[in-house]
Amino acid sequence: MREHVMRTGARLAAIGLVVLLGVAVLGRALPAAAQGAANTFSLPIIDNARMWPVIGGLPNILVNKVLYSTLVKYDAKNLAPVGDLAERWTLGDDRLTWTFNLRRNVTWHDGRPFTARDVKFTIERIWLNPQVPFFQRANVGEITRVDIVDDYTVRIVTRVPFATLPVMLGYLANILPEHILGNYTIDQLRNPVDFLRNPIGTGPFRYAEQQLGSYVRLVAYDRYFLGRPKLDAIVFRVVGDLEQQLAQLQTGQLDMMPIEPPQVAVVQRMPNVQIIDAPQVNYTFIGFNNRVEPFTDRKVRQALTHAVDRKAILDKIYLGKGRIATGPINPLIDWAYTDKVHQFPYNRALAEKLLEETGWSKGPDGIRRKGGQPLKITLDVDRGNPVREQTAVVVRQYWREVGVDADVRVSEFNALLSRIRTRPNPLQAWTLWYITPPEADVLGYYHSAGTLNEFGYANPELDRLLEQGRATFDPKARAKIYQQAQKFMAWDAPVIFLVYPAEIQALNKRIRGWVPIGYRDALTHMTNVTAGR
Amino acid sequence: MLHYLIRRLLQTGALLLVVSLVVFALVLRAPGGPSILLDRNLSPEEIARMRSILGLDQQLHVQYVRWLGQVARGNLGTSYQAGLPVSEIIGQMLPNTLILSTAALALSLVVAIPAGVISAARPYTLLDHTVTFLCFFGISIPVFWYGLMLIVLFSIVLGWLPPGGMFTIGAPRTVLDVARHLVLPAIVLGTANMALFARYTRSSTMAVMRQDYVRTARSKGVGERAVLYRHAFRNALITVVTVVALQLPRLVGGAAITETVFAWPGMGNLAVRAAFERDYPMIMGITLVISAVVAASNLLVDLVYVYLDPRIRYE
Repeated sequence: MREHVMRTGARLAAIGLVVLLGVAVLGRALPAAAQGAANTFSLPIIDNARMWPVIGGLPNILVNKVLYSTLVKYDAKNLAPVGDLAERWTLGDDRLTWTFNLRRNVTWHDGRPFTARDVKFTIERIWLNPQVPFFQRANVGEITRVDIVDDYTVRIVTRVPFATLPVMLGYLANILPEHILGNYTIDQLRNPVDFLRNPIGTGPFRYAEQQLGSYVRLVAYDRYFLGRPKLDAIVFRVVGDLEQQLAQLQTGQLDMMPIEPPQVAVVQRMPNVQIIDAPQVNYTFIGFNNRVEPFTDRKVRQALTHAVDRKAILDKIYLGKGRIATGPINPLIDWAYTDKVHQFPYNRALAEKLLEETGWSKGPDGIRRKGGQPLKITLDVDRGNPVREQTAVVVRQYWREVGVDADVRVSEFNALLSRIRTRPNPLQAWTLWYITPPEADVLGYYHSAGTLNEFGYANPELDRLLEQGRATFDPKARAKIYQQAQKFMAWDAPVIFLVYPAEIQALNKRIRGWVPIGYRDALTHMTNVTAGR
Repeated sequence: MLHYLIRRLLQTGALLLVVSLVVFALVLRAPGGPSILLDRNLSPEEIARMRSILGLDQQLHVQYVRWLGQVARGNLGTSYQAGLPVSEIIGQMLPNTLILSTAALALSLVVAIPAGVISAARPYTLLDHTVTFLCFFGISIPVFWYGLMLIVLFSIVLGWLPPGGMFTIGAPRTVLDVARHLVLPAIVLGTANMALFARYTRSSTMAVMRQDYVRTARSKGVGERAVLYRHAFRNALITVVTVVALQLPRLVGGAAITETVFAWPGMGNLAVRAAFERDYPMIMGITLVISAVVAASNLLVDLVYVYLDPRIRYE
């Protein structure tokens, strides 16, 4: 018996040895495979991309950035609108008619020429067609029609003077091929399954293959109108798990990924990876529901802002990567941005004083009350993002210190956003972020009739300024209007503007030519990027 | 027998209907909505329009009946996220999951059965205690942590194996390449089963070793090895086979955590993403396929029993 057991044990050990050897052999068989492929750039997406730029979602947006083109894109340095498919544009005397001159050397990935017909088709049949959902319609809703002047000239007419048009035409507004989609029915345009299997764009990379759940691979388009990209391919790898993304970054399967401050220390230890603090047109905020008590009172909003030490939040939670926000216009919009506004430094005494002035007095339990009602605020935050979760906890503490019975409620992002979108908005306060077009025009978010105004904020004075800004074309006059608007908004404190965070990018050192701006925009400047061994 | 079969098929149909109804109600009632309706730039009017196009503005029962009608015509719908037919996506993911699950199952059996037999042959010895300890370790170790540790060791420190995915992108698609990607997730997925199977093998072998016929064989002078393999082991296997059969539906369902940790493009990973993104047609499609496979395999097992054990008769 003993002998038999020993023999079986030896066999077992042999099997184990064989398995280990197998692993080693498999590993040695293709040693280079774990490193990045030559001249291919790869980055993660969390789910399959739908290469139909009419529907939103980050995976789609990222892939569509290199597959398709827009009429206008943003300069790599100052994010000013510059030509992409359009070479230049002029505004007519009526201030409603824009003439766009299109490039003549643009071809679709199937070789057919790009013309004015594609522009008219995309705008009129898709963007403006109420029967087809388009996720950026709020940005281009002022367009009424497109006239073809000749094959390479279009006139875009707006309902009202709309100074922001060129910027909006660069923001997730990809032009689609009329010669393929022109005959599609409305149902097909809502979800063109055949087209999704072989999408045709005008971008620097053309579709090569998609392995669902694994990756999408795009290869350099030889006839790209700005010259063939130096990279041979871009791969978007479907990796939902953050730890797996980090492992792939370290082993070189991924070349770039955006990270959050808690991951900085981990990535710093990876010898093959550098960290870039990329500026992005964004801001984080604590949103108030301006339609419900106590946020209807400006002094309360100001008090709640003074109560929060945003410098500490920036330094400790964001690791100093960014700057304190003064309003909804990001400093990257340098022609319009001003920091000469009310600054709301951390001042607990002032916060308490302001709350006293509004009738919210402290009771024996330290909680403020007015008319017997306690000052109770629930701050909502989404689960999983460390920066926002930590911010919510810290803000709760700051508010408690000035006598607010504050609480944090954590829910799934999906559920949180659905609640914010419910009308009337059932939430009191929440913390989120905005990434916006590189424009000072924030009408959609803060105008009383703004389609994206989730704060229920309404102020006739600001409405007037925002309308004026949108209809003013003279750059100096516009800048002045938006500076006034920023001063007004800072003082009125419709939300707590927290931080303009840098986008922290982890980039493999073998990558050269990467434009150090937010990666959504950097993806529109890929022609000079190279990936070494 | 025919009556039994018809009755079981009808029962299976009813079961699928109930499962789909319950899941449909739960999923559509869950807080939040499809991710494609949550883009920050979508205006409320646009969201309402999209909801209407997707039929989400209708009453729950109307939506269910519509979905059912569609399924009856052989159409599982279109994924909100990928924009492609659900059946096409499942068709691509299912084989990947089968590859992983089969490899994990094979690995677990290869290790578990000898380990269980050795344990049973030398109960309460150091060897047995070691195997038992390893089994409990395997059953209780959190999969995501275990997976990450293997990634750290084999991918990052040793650099032997890729940390995740199923293919080397851009390289020729070879069996060897898939095998390299398969090793770590198969070990992780196989470990828990390995431990389970080893425990069952041990206990059932021990039970059989106490049987009279084993004693008879020994008293006749049959060698210990022959007793173990020719007389005891085969009978002990019946229990193991049953336990393994119970795990079969999992082959199709995939392992959500393992697939997620290793970015393996399978059903489990797909189900997790679909749930996060409230991709209703995708969730329903996955549910239906997995339920159908479970029901079919149960039916099959019951029918196989008849052939295995002539005493069983279904009326």
